[in-house]
Amino acid sequence: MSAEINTDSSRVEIKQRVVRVALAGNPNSGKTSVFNALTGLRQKIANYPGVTVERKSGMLTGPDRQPFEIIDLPGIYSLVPKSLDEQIAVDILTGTCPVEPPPDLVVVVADVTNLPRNLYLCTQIIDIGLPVILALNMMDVARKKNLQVNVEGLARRLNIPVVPISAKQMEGIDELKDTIFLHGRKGANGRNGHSILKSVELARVCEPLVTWFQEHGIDSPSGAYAEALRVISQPQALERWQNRNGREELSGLVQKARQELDARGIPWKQAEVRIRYAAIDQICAQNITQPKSTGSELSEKIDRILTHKYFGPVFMFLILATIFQSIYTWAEVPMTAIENALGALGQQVEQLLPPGPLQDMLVNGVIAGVGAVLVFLPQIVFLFFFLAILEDTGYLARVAFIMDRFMAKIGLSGQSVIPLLSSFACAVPGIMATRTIQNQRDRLLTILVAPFMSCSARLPVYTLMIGAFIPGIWLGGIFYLPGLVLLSMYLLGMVAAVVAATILQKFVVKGESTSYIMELPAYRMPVWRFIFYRVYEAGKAFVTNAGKIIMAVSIVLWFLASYPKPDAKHQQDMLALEKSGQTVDSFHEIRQSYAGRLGQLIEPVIRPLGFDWKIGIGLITSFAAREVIVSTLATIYNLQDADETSVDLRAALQNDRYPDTGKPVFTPLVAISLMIFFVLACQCMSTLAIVRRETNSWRWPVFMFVYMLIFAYVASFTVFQVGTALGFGS
Amino acid sequence: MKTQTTDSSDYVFSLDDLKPGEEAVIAGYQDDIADEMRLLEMGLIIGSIVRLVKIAPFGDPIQIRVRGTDISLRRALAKRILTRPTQLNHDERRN
Ligand SMILES: Nc1nc2c(ncn2[C@@H]2O[C@H](COP(=O)(O)OP(=O)(O)OP(=O)(O)O)[C@@H](O)[C@H]2O)c(=O)[nH]1
Ligand SMILES: [Mg+2]
Repeated sequence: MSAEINTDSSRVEIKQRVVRVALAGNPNSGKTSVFNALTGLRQKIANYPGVTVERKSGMLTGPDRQPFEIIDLPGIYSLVPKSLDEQIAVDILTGTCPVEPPPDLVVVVADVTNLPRNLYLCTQIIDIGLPVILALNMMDVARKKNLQVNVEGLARRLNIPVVPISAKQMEGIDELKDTIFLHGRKGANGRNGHSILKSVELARVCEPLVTWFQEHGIDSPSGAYAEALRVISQPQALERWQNRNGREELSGLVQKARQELDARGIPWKQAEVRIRYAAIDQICAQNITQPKSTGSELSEKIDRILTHKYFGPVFMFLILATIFQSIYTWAEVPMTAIENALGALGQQVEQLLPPGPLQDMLVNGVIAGVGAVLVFLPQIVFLFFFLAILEDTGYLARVAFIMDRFMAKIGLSGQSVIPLLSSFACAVPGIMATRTIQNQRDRLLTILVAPFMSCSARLPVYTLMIGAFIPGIWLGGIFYLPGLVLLSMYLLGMVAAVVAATILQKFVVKGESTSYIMELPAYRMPVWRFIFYRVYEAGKAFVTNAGKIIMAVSIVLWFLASYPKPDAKHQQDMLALEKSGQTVDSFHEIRQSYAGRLGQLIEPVIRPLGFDWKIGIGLITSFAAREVIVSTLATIYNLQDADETSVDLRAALQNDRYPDTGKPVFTPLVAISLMIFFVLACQCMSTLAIVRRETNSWRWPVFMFVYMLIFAYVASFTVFQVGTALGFGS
Repeated sequence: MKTQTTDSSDYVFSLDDLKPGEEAVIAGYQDDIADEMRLLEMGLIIGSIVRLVKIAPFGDPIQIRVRGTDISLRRALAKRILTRPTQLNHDERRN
């Protein structure tokens, strides 16, 4: 360990080198749970494979204040990556990552109820020569299943420390920490682990390759042997050596080895798996006692209903319908409470501050704008609560299972289902989750349609429109009409994704979806602690966002909608109009402000969709974030009705009339047209930015923005025009 | 996690031919499946016992169990995974 004396402070401090500890393991084995337990952080945990798709790190302080950096990685099945998230993990472990050296210590987090497959990866990591600790996770489940593991036997056989833990019950975490502290400080001396690879026959075939690898940077014999087996078995593994010197020679050696294996009747693709699993099966037989299977497991019983041929799809629909209905009905009481509190706040400010631009800005700009969005906090909380439950029970993976047939038809795979469903929360993590999709074409197609899933930012827009214009009646005593309309907006987004995918695969992202291999995790009781954190974080992000982006936009908008103040001539004209007995547009001041002019500039384009210039302003500002349209409308209506403290936005929308015709600006048809526009258009900077990052080009985000806008325009246009023609226009 | 093999490999069929609840032994893969490696790493190697747990509601994909894990995959892929009867149901099938 290198210690550096730092004398520039009054105290002599020893700056210690940070020990880097990576968490590796199969997908869904509980790595992030362990990470959170070790670091006290709150990264996302859920019950399906592929939750973590990027490297995350946190600190842990050891004895003598020695810092340990704990690195959480995406799940992998082996050291040969098949998708982008796996690539990230493998690159760091094997030292092929350009920006990061391999870790000092690897903690392999294994699901003890599924040990053979977890040991496959564990033994591979031992073979590359990194110091390894094996954390046997999910011991609580093992106990319930009466599965017994000989921990010492396993440790002796593999020659590594083995720590039984349960990240869920927080068992064994202190022991794990101590083991990390003990072994992490040994540095290169900490190399442990016995290779389990022994096969005389294969060893001879591999010999020339082993020598080659030892000459090319892999010093340990077992590491060279393991790599030799890997390049023989997997073309992808060979590709990883493609950029090194002497790769021709390597390819030649690999060819020869494959031919030799063929001659002996051994399929070369299975060279590594065969001997590794042979050894592992033997180890498991010696160290695990599994009770005779006692009938079918609980998960299988639950699945008898939830993935039943007929009940399965019915339940899926009912579950979704119930969720949207509950989001709607449960949120009403807390929403009113927040509304009242904000109204009172506005009054307070109005009394405390003298009238003038400052008071005006705070009341009509900030409080009206931010408040209009903030009242939707309960909805966001319920949405994330339900999503977290779906994810943490393991049901999400079943939705993918049921939907795959359907996804195949539209050129996607079941693997796309999880990123798409994650997009209900927000398209940004949804698009990141596409990293788990192996096929690059499937991945791109999924990215391109993901923003059609209604994210939580659209929820305030839907709720506002539905609350103001859809009557709260119960259909047949079961379905609440507003809830049903909300559900149909979500369904519309899904249908749009299907249509778009079908078109895009014909013309833009050609080809067929090929692969779908996914593990179906066992159902688990959700961990309420984690669910609470998830909901809390989401709520916090929503409030912070309202405090930053929406506040900023509201202030700018207040300014743009308040200035320039009408000049004397304008005032006189209006007065004259009023005297002559004509109705005066109560928005005349805002109309000639900067924002008003902008709105009127685009009005001719959006008028066929049923939108007036005020909505036009909202469409422009909502590009910062979709929910900004709500704060924008709130600010505009508050400025118009400056005498009143806080305008009830719903009532203001209902009462707004066109000055020339006297017809209402908003009708149920306009509300529906507006909601449809919001379902379909990609008005979101963050989404476009993440697409740029994940596809590495501006081409796709630009394409996405344009095609979704066309989609939105055509759909809203059709609905509004057809609706009007059929007489629904009033 | 015992694997069982039959000495008489006269009777080979695809994984897709199994009925829900039936078990078989993996016998091999039909030429070049892109996902062969992933399946192998997940433990579907020659000699492993697989059970077809169920078929998805709309007829595809299927759910199989290998080494205690449930994996879902499409039938098109399952067609190219070769299996043979376990000792037990081998005799049943012949009758
Ligand atoms: N019963 C039980 N469940 C656990 C334990 N540890 C984790 N889980 C659950 O296992 C699931 C997966 O946990 P994660 O921590 O997200 O797993 P991961 O390895 O990070 O998964 P990926 O990021 O997808 O690779 C979650 O539902 C956890 O609640 C444990 O010790 N016991
Ligand atoms: Mg994780």
